[in-house]
Amino acid sequence: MMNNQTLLKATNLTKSFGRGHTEVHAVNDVSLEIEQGELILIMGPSGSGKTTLLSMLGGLLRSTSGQIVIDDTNISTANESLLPDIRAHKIGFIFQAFNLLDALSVRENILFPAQLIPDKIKQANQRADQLIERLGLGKRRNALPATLSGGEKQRVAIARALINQPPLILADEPTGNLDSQSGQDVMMVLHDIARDENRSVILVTHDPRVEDIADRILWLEDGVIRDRKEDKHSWVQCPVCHMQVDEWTTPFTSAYQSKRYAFCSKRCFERFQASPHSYGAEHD
Amino acid sequence: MLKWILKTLWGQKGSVFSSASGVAFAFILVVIMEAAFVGESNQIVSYIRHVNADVWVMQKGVSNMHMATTFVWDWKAKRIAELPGVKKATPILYVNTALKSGGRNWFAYVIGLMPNDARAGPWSMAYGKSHPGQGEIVLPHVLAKMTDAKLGDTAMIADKKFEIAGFSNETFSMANSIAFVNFHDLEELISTSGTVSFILVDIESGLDKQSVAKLIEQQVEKVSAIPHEQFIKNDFQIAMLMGVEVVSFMSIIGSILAALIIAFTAYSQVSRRKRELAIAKALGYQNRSLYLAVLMQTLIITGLALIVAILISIFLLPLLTTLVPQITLVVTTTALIRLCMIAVFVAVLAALVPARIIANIDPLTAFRS
Repeated sequence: MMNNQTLLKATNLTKSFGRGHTEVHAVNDVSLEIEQGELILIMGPSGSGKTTLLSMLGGLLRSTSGQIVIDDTNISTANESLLPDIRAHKIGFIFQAFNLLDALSVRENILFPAQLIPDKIKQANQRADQLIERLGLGKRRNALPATLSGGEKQRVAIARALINQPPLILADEPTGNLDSQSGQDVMMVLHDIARDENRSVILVTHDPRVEDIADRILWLEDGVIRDRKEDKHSWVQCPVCHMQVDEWTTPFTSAYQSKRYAFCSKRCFERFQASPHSYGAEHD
Repeated sequence: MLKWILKTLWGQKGSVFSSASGVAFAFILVVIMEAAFVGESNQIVSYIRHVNADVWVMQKGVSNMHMATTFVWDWKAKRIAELPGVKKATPILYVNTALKSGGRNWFAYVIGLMPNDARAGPWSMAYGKSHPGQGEIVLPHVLAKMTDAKLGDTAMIADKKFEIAGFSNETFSMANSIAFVNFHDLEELISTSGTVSFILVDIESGLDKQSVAKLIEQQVEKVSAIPHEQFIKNDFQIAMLMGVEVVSFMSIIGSILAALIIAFTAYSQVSRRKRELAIAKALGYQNRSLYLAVLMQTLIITGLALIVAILISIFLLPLLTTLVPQITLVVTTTALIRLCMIAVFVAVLAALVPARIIANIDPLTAFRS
């Protein structure tokens, strides 16, 4: 149910770390627009700048240049002291590690950001109960995070992200620590949030299974958004074990002698790093 | 936020309890020091309070009893007794000196009592005679408990021996106890004749003490006449002045100790919870909210410690006085109010310690798994 109204507009966004010959562009001249109700995937290899981009869009990291406008608020020029308020009102965060507060129950965790908007706390209480039911946490409302499964924790995190009814949800690898069934459940919840509540969801992920539910996929590589081939996969051979691996989605990639290699696992990646000439030569 | 703080503290009951106990200990030290000082100061004016003369007359220029020396011609006592409105004028001899009993020296007010006049003598007796005859002395009962001294034993002032004839109550203090001897024995000991130290004046009922004191000063030359309440106040102030530096020093030490314990607790709590604080920041909490959270945490720990310290001060310190009779502890409301103020100050001070850590917490940390 997109209504074609731009919620987020990032223009010529660049984030550099270091200076002089050590300067690295984690994100390089990225521009993007996201409409209300849109579900966007940001994909790309590890170290491509996905989380850096998400952090800037969430007002947690200042860009080196460029600007970000969310819901008519330019967060690039906003005073540092205003950013927390903007985050509280306009952005909901979902983290890979769930990031629930250990001492608080499910319901209290969900309500934690609601205290930032004290005049709406009564409505927030009602909404928390609705979210708990909707996300299937009814029997766990008073449970502590330590007693929850990964999928339950992530559903609590989603409810927490929604409690202040922000127009934008940013999720960083929300299925990264979940088994496939829980991951699928979480993705469907995020899908419904975008469709049913007209919220924009930006999702950083390595998980190729979620591509089908996205409205758009942005492929980020070396800090730059690139066109992605129509094919959903680009199968290559891991140079170490010779298994088939999707070079677009694998987090393990490396460059050696001007050639790019993709690995099936961290183990193969580390073996290659230890002795690239043997595998590189073999591959050649 | 408050729920988060309370539940987090509850989750770390052990460490909170240890900190609160440490802080309570520091607070109790402060209370005990002050209580001991006030108790001793009260003991210093104990004789004046209990003897309860309406007006005290002494050598002109002298305004208190503690550590004072005063000489007044004995005929002035007779002169005062004849003044209108004066019911009775009782002269005493008085000296601040060391007396030896039970093999130890004790600093004491030694009061020389007129024969056959019990007006200025001990107000409560444990046992024995209340009015010492020639060569006799009445000592504090606590002293007897501490040294096993018995009636008939010998006590010495300078090189003069006295036989212990009685033991009185409420006359002991670490700073100065009160011993009673015969007027003429003390007169002989300090080699005076025809003089007294103080004249205790009782006035007719219904008269104003201030007016009678003024009349005495007008009618009798070279004497100071001070109403009872003012005389107590003068002595108490002197006692306070003498000990105020020690008490202030101990209060500062106790406060610093408490502040260090709370600061360490707050620092370690914040260090342990950096990740949760980063999450809170990422979700939209401002630094000031987190400072406030730490302040609330230090206030809660300090508050717990304060409650424990006050309860112990009120209910357990009196037991301590029973167990250790030579200590006089008086916990005043003023001391407890001051302790509360110290506690708030200490909590605020301690909350500042982890402020830098909070300011430096990067909300981006929340993204790192």
